[in-house]
Amino acid sequence: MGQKALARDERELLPRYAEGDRSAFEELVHRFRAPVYGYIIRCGVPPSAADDLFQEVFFSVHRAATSYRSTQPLKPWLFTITANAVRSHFRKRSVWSRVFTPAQMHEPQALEPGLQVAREGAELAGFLDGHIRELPLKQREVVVLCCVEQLSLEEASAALAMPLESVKTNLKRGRATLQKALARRELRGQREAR
Amino acid sequence: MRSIDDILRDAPRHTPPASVVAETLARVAQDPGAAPLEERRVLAMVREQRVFARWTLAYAFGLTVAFVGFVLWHTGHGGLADKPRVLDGSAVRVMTSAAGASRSANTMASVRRYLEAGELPPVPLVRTDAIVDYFQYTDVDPEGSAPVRVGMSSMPAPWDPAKRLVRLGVVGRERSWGEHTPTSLAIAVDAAAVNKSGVTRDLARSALGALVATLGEQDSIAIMDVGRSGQMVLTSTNGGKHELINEALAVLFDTQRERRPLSTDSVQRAYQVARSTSGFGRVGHVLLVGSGSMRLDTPDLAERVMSYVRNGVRTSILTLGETAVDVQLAELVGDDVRADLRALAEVREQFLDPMMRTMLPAARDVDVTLVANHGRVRALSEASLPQLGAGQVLTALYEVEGEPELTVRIGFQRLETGKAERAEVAVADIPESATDDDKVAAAAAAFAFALQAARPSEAFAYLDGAETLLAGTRLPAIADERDRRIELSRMVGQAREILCPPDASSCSLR
Repeated sequence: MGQKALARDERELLPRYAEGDRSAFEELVHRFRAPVYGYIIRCGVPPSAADDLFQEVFFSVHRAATSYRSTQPLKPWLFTITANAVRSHFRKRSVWSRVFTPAQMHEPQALEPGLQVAREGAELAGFLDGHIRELPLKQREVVVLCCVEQLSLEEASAALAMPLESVKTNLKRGRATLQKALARRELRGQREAR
Repeated sequence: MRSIDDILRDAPRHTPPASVVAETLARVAQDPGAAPLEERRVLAMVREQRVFARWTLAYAFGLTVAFVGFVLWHTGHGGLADKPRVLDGSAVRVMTSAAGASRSANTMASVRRYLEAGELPPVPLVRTDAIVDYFQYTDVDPEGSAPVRVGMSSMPAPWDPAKRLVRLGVVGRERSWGEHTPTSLAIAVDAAAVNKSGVTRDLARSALGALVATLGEQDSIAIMDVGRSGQMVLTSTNGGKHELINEALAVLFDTQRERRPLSTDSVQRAYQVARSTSGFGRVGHVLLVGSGSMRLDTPDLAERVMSYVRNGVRTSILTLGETAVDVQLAELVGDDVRADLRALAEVREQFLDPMMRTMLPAARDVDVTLVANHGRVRALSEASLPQLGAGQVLTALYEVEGEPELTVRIGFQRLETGKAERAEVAVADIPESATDDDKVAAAAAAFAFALQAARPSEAFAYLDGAETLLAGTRLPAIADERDRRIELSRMVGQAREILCPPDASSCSLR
């Protein structure tokens, strides 16, 4: 199926669910579980909270199913809900960070059990993926949507409720930081080879 | 060297554990919110009928033209006695309840309206936390300079002997009104909508008039009629000039003026003029006042609202009369919505009191939670607010199963110093008190559960529980109709009658 046809098909999922077809919602969850979960993890939400947040996102999608219009693309709409959930998580955490000691707050950022890392040719991607979490949140959001999820600048702008110019700036800065990390890695590799 | 984008295209896939996906689907399937399929079907039907009506209209028009042409051609003179019949979708009534498509902050009033109309409210409308919070509790004020006090009490859960209820009462310290935070307010009124009915006009006039009465020299206010032409009624003015502001309100609600429907450009103009004329150099709060439905699909409204929220401008919505606010719009403004207000008492309770609490806070980022080391704790209503008002009482109610070690976590930010304070109190023995406050909170929760119940027997058990609890409270010697416990008692009776009318042979839920 072509990309356009796939996108058209995606847009029909929520209206179908709103009409009473529950299998459409299951299909939606299965189709978008990796992008949504990936976004949550890459934005730096610890795995223990990511599961709950993942549920929250799809629960909100289910509640808002009637307000979705099939004329708008589904993916940015879905990422708006996801981005709001992630931001809300960090807002709550910032309150709690004042209550708890850092040791209690920050869980180790180890790769979670569900992570599937392809063995070959993905080392660089895995390396960068880890570095995305160290970017400031705005850059993280934009880099994940534009570079990983392949959303256009306009779609990312709509999904994040961020002006287009800010999207461009954050993307540029995020890419530059990742580029530097990549260069440092290569330099280290060359030194070790010598 | 490959570009960052090329590399990230092959980034590892993060997939949630299968159990999480399964749990998500199960949770969604169990949610009563999944039920408004009936409503969705009605909407779909309307949509289909509209399309059908349009095609029928076009078809009938074509036929008519052809027929008229044929008659004129055949007889040489025109004239048709009967007009063609056109099917119209307007015969199908669209349910615009607050459930699903819109959100109302006015839960208890909406529930009351349904019961008085002899219907059970839709399940998604019944929010246990809002119903528990509706009642006034008499928790003790903080002592000394403490901005917040947390009181605890516990009682067996009336609906399940294996469980108990723990109530946390959070009270903000009282302060004098003169200490309130200076406010720069831009009020954008959709006067065309508000002035459509005398009731909504009077409500709006009373609400804004009462708001103006609370403003002082340190505040500023700008008022705009956000009709399509966007008329500025009052540029940013010192909040102490009550007479001038009230004159502006009189102009706004003058029924003789020409009105135009809501225009987003006008909202933005109101904001800009208020900002440029405000002594603060910025607007701290945009208040959108309207009536009827307020939806995101008003052109550019989402964009405008988002830009205010992004710039740290508090944006809230007040709608009067029978109204619905789009869920997404409500989410954009962080649920700062006072919708569907139909009486002055509701306006006072839902709009003015919260507004004043925001202007006179006791502490910020207040979050009080009960946690357990093991066993199960279910929050029926929570105490978490970005700002706790002076004298405001928040009630958090928890259902605890088993015998876990309980800890109360308290976090807040002091206003004077901006310092975050926190405390973690291990609770060895919460007094098994069952005060009137505990009983009322438990009765409110039981009433909400009854309205959410899936089976009549379940609903009756909860209603019985609520009645027993209310009967155990000490009501005032002289029965006051405004006492909310009496109101709850009446609503419990109404729900019982709807579930099982006296002349019915069997009882049913919906």
